[in-house]
Amino acid sequence: MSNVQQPPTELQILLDGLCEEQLTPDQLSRLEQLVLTSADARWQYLQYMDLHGTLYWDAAGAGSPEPLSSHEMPAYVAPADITPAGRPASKKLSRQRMPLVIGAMTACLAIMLFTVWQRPTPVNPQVVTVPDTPSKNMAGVASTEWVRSTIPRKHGPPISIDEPVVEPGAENFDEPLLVQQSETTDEPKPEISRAEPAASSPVRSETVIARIGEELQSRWKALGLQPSARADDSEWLRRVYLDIIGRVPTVDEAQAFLADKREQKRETLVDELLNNTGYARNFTTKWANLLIGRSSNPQVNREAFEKFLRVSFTGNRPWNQIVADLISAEGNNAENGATNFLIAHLNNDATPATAVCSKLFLGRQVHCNQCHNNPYDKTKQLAFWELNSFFQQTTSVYRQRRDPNTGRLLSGFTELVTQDAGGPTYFETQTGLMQVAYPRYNGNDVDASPETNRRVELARLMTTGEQPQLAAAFINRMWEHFFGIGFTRSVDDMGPHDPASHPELLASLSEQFMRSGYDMKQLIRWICLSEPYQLSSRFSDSNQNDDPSLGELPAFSRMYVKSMTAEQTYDSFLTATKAHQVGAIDWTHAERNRQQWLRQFVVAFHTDENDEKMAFDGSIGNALSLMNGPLISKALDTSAGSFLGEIVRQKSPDTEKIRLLCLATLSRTPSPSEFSSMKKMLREASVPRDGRLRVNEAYQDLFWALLNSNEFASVH
Amino acid sequence: MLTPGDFVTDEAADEKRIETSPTSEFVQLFTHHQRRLFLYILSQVHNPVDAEEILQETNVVIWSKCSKFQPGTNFLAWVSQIANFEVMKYRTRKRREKLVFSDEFLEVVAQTSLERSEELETRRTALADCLNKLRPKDRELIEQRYAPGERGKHLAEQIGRPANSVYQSLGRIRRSLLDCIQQRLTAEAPS
Repeated sequence: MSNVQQPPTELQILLDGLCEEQLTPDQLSRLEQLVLTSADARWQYLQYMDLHGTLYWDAAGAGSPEPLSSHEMPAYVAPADITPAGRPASKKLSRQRMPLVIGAMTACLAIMLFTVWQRPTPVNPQVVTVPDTPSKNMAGVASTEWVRSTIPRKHGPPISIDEPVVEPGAENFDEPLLVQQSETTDEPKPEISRAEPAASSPVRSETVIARIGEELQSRWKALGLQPSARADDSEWLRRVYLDIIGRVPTVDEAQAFLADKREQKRETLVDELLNNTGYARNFTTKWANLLIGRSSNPQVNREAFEKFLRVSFTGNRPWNQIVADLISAEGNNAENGATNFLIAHLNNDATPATAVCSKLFLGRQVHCNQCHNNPYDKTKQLAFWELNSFFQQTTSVYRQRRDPNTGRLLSGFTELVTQDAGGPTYFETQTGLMQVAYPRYNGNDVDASPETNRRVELARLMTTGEQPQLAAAFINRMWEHFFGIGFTRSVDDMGPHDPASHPELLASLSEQFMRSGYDMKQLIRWICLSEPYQLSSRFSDSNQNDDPSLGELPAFSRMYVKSMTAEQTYDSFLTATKAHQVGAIDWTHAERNRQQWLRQFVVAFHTDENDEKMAFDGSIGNALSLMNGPLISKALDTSAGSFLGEIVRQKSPDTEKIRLLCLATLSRTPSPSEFSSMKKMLREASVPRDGRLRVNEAYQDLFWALLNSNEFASVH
Repeated sequence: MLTPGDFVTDEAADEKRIETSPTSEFVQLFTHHQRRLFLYILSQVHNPVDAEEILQETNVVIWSKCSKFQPGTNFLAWVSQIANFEVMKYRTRKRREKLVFSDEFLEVVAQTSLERSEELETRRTALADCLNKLRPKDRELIEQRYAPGERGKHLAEQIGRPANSVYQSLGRIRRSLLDCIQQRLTAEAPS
């Protein structure tokens, strides 16, 4: 059988979930939808169920190649030599299944015995063993218990099922969508004493903002570029909304800003957006996707993790403290959301945790170093394992409890624990030599004895005081967030092999960021008010060459066009169409709907690095889902109370209605030529006969076209 | 066509049925179709344990109805109707506590399942070979997963691997089994 396998499709993921009884009701209905709409999916569903059922029926391996072809008993019991592992599986199994056939025979011969079948009135002990759950099978239970208590575990202590379950905190997520700042009280307690950043003199924002402009101007001059014109209010407004709070402005918000005549209105808006709940939500989405990925690892409590981030961002906790929490978190993953970061990456001897920490917090990709020294820069294999050894005391334990009455398993939680383990980590070099690595970070050795909590030490070494690399990695990431591209080609691989386009600016911003106390909101203010962020995305006469997609180093002489992320698309869609007015009353509920919609685009690669791919890339598939999915049909609803319905029924001229629809979707008023073609379309629709209905349809068509335009789908 | 009325189990009716004992042909058909019937029910309720329970209940009814079966007609079609009724009863019982599929879903799945039942049988034959072709580690894992009394979660605990990784491996193995089955059938198909 070939080892190369395509990543599973959405359907396959759902079907696997079904086999493992892991599906949520939402996923089940998604599965239904797929199966109902495609004959191919139906067939795949049956293939899966048949495989699952056959394996269950035959208890894998005993699979007799013959279908049940005879009523003779021996034919039913699979010959032992077909059992591959040579263990007495077929015997055990046949004991379990036989009652069925024996029962059938009994019934056949003496139908009088019908009542025997009605459990629990056994007559013949063999007949009685008809299990109603597999665990009632005596042999099964006995062997299970035995194995459970003796097999040595690679990770962590044995799991006690009777462990009392602490009330999961996940239920406390009914924060209303619009309450602001209420979360700051339950801010996670910092566990590590942190040296205050050297705040010798307060950072002056104007100075930093001006510095960004100067640095870029001097480069433009050197390259002979004329930067693009200043973006008009509509363009800038839409951009800053999408970048800071992850959605387009509403019609009211757009009108208010466009009508605002104050000189400082851009500054004011940036501050307003940073205090909007959307800010925390947007960056929570961004960082949750980076830190734990989009695909749901069943052990990870995404809701709790997002809550940790949301609380942190709402309270504007310094970035270094957030990182310290992520690295050193312990305990119940529902109560301490930060634990979920490592829980997501502890597999394969925590090599993903090592690589992801380095990539996200330090801007260095080291996963290649797991197996060899990097030929392009000086990073060594040893350094990877030295970092890795900080995670070697850490393990995650799944705790679950049975309901004493029904015996059913109750939902559990995962706990991140640090064990009293010491000593080196072993790894193999390319030449097959076994080597050891001790915990060591950035030239600092850490005591390798069991008494040391290595992750606490790592957090201290990586995040306290002046940490230029931590700061630079964050600056680069945020610069990429706002400009579509970072200072380096690959945002999280900042080694000497990929020199930064503006090294001085990067260094100076990192410096200021550290001096500001790793203040994220301050950094965003600097970026959004800087000169390059004010530029239009349209080319000027002389900056056509400033195009990083052609391989040029970015000069930031215009705003590069970004495509919306799936989350931005979804949220903007709801903002523009108010399609969400159905349901969604609290954060958790809204977030679940959103996650469900997003899931269709995520493809998880089951690799050692927990890679995944977001298939939201303007492909035909996702275009179709936007054009024809349930979301758009809700959006195009013209019944009372719907956004489109309200606009269509307004007693105002067509031009006003068109203007509102354009504002809702594109945050701008249409150009004269756009106006005239839209009006023409509407006029044709309102000619004679049941004109009323056709006007509705024409508006639906118009709105549909706007929502599916390139302009809607991009941040520019 | 069976109607719910056919399933009234008053004692007088039961006594009548006892008089008719099933023919050996009936017994053979019955035995032969047990697995297929189980798989049919599973495709409707997606949980093997529940499917087995429903199968038991269905069997009781099948026996009580054995005289109603007309030899020469499609046995599977006949028993699947009885199963449908039992699935319905189960669903009414379990709707509150379990995830159940919609009626529409059951209908289309049932139809496809019956239409392509022979194809599914062929696939099952190929499976035995494909299981033998698995890498020993994979085969062991899938055996452990489906060993009587096992469930995915416990399995992860037992073998000391994180649940999600076991889950992923099982998914991968299932897919490779399906791929293998597909390849065998394609290879065997007359060109």
